[in-house]
Amino acid sequence: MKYKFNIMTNYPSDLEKEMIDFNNVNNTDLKLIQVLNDEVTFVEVETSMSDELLFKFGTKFGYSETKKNIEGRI
Amino acid sequence: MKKIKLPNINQSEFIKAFESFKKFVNSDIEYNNYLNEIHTASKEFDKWQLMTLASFYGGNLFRATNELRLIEHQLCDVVFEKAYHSQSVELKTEWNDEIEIKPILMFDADSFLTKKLVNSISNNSKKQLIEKMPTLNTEQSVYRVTKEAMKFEHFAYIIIKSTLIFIRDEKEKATITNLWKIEWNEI
Repeated sequence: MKYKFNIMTNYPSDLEKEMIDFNNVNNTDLKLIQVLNDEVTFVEVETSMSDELLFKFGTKFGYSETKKNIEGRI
Repeated sequence: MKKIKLPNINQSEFIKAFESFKKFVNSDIEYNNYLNEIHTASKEFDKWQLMTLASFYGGNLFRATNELRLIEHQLCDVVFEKAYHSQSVELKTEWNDEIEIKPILMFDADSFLTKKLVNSISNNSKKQLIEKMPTLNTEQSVYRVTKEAMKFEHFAYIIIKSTLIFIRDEKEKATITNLWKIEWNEI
């Protein structure tokens, strides 16, 4: 069964590359469906991979996204 | 009910991420720290929630193992209107000619995130901040790392494409004041 959901990122092309790399290593089917350029950037993705692998991908995504973009107010 | 075993996680970083996640979203995902598993009472995990929890955890792992170092400094004076319809701001620096700041990000930044920068920056770099930016409350606040910082003028920071950007946040406008080229080093 395929699931669709949104991910927020300022770097859609980086995310797509990360998804392709992850698919190649883990034999998964993460796919970027469309970039939803609203006030902030969301991308719609689709996959049928297991929850365990989605958690693994999410961890990698959070790691690399933090490197590129942390923000805050003081 | 569905569950996921998390056998190889850094438990302390995961717990912090889980607590942030539960404050951020109303979710039925629960964590059992004895079995080291998460479960949902629903038939399936909400994929967006699962992805969000995992990315919070990944972000914590990064911050726990990397230190931010300041490399170069550049003064800046770029003003943008603080409104939801505002255009993105394009910035050029001596080390990066393509930085885009979306004014909407100013509305999403939260005060509790201050510690993310403070906890990430190296001691030498904190000294550099004070040397280069001595007159701004912002940087003093970063250095002091206290809740008193909140009493001062609101400043925001953001890191985009290896550039740490300081923004003075006023009522109807915001001014980009200082740019720093940065590097992340493994601790």
